[in-house]
Amino acid sequence: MHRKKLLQISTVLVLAMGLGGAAQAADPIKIGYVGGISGPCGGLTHSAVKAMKIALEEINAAGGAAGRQIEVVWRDSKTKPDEGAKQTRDLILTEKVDVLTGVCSSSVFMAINPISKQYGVPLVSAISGTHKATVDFGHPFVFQTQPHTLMEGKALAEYAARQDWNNIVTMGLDYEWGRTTVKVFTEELAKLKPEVKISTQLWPRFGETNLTSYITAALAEEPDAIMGVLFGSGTNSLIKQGRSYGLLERTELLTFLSTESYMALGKDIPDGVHGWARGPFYALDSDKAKAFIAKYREAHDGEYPNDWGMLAYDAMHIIAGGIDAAGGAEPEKFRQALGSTTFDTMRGPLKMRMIDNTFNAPSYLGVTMMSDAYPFPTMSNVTVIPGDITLPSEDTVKALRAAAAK
Amino acid sequence: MARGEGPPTESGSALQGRDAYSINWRLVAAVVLLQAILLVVSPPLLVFALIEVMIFALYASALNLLLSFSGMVSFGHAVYFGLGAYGLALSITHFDFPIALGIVAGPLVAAFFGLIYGILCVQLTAIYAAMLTLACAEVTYAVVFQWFDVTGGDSGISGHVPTMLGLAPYQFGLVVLCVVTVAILMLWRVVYSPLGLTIRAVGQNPARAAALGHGRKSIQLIAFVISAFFSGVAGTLFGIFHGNVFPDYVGVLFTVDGLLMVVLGGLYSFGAGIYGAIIYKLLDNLAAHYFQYWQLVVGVIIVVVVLVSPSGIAGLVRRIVDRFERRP
Repeated sequence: MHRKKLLQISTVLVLAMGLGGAAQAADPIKIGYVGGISGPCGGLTHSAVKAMKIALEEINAAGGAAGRQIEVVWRDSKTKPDEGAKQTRDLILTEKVDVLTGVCSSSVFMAINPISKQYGVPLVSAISGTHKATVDFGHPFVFQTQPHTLMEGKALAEYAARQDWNNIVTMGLDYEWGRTTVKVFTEELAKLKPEVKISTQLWPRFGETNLTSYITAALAEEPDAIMGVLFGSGTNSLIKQGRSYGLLERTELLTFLSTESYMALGKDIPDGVHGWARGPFYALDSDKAKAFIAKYREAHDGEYPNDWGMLAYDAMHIIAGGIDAAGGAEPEKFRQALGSTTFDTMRGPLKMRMIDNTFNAPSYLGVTMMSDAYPFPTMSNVTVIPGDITLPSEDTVKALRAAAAK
Repeated sequence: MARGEGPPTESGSALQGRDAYSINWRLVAAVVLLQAILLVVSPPLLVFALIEVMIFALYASALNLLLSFSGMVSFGHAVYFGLGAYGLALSITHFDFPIALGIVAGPLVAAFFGLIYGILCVQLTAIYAAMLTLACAEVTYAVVFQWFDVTGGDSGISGHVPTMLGLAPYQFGLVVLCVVTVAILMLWRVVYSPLGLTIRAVGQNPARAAALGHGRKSIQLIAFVISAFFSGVAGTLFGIFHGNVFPDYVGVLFTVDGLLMVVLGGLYSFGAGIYGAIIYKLLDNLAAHYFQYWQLVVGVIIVVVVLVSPSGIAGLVRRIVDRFERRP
């Protein structure tokens, strides 16, 4: 009798434990999103959030990751580093998120990077361009799925080396992005095509909209091309004001032109400008990309996703894929899973290398052209520079880390 | 006139007997003890909020020295806050200072720039001086943002100091509590010392103060440097709290935050910065957790405060206390 009772109790306990375990397994995996939903990044991030929500629906509809549903807690960093840090702490301590993602501006990325390190919570940057978080101040749990500044500078050099350009003027906005991109571009171009002359380097002030003095200074060098590390109103000013000086008739122009620039500037962007982009929807013709674009447009009144939307969609699928491969969100297993998996993304198969947790994300360069396909210009003859050739060497990574640790 | 309603005048409470302005050590001890207990028993998230409240209470109190007492308005005071953090970071990364020396360097760098910019700003008065403070702030922001070889540009400077000095949040909170308490007591001493009396005299009536031999420019410059120094102390603490520094710390939003705290707290009251920081930063940290548009709440509160009690929370508190005191 006593033995029978013991058996009954044991059975109940085992069942209870089993049910408890099942309940735990069914708990959703929590992802904390910290991004500049408002503030200077707001114009870029809106598409990223929409795209991530679509990815989330797809992932959960397909059974989630590692057998668990995924839940995202959305937080606005207001594009302020201290606010981003605060929200990140809140996500980790209150919401108990398993993985962090989002990030747009360099400062917010750098502000939340040490918090991810401190608490050992993986941080997957979807759309921030600075290399400092993963390279200079990299740690085991910070990841980057888009090409960073060092990779883009090298991609630009690869593209320029393939052109018939022997005399180039660089025009970079006088702040970190402009300076770093131009520096990497000139160094890499000197290796690839030493005969190319950089006749002068111009540095318009950040936020400067009157670029006429820079345009005349550039044209005075009679360059084959101007490499402009500008964006938004800077690019707009260069193109519009350059018309008065016949800039595009007298030289070639290579500048950053992401999708929202085409949508905002429309026909102000003439045919024949060399542009570079990070995730141009119109240049991606995989079934996966087509399906996402159709879904995005249907959900948002025919709007096209911008580059940040494309990158963010890929990032969410990479996170879910990593969790799936790791069998959960345990940080070290997650890292190992990301490093050992090839992810089938809209930008093609992407793989992460372990030294700096950076994916071999490609850069896209082409020549602008107005067509009937879209109500705004896009790039034609798009050249894809694969991330495998633009990732900085391991020696460079080690040198930058040593310098940062000093 | 009750304290906290309009600028203090000779006939008002600002120049009342010395006893009214001696430090109430019992009150200080009680507040410090309560805060220390809160830091020790609260969950980490609340501890972070309390640390922010304390740091911004010092920053706003330093700004309040100018706004409420010296007759100056600064539209660029985040410069001194941010330069405290940059002084700490740059002294370590570029001059190989040990961390302890860097912590001393932060406020001194802020005070140095307070002296340089102050010399310029006190040449003018009223809105013109305020515009000059804005110009100095813009220059500083541009240099910090663009001189990326030195300042790290928009990626800022990281890794120079362990976040919170490697202490547990409550331990760092106790350090901040000690520093902020001493700094605010020093500010109190400044405001209610003979020097403070002169600063207030210049703030209220520069012509009459000049007739008594107190030159406006030199007195306002002293107030400016003191304010910059204590803003720098707050900025240095903030830099250690986050373990990094960014151009935003010298930017206009941090200046606006400081101004809002003082207005909310109550102009012409010593406690303006403290009251304002408590309300503003707690709303920022806690209300934002439940209500996405918390700044709307702050906006409504400011409108209500300005309409109901133009002298801010401090004036409201004072009036309530006075009403109870008058009751038989």
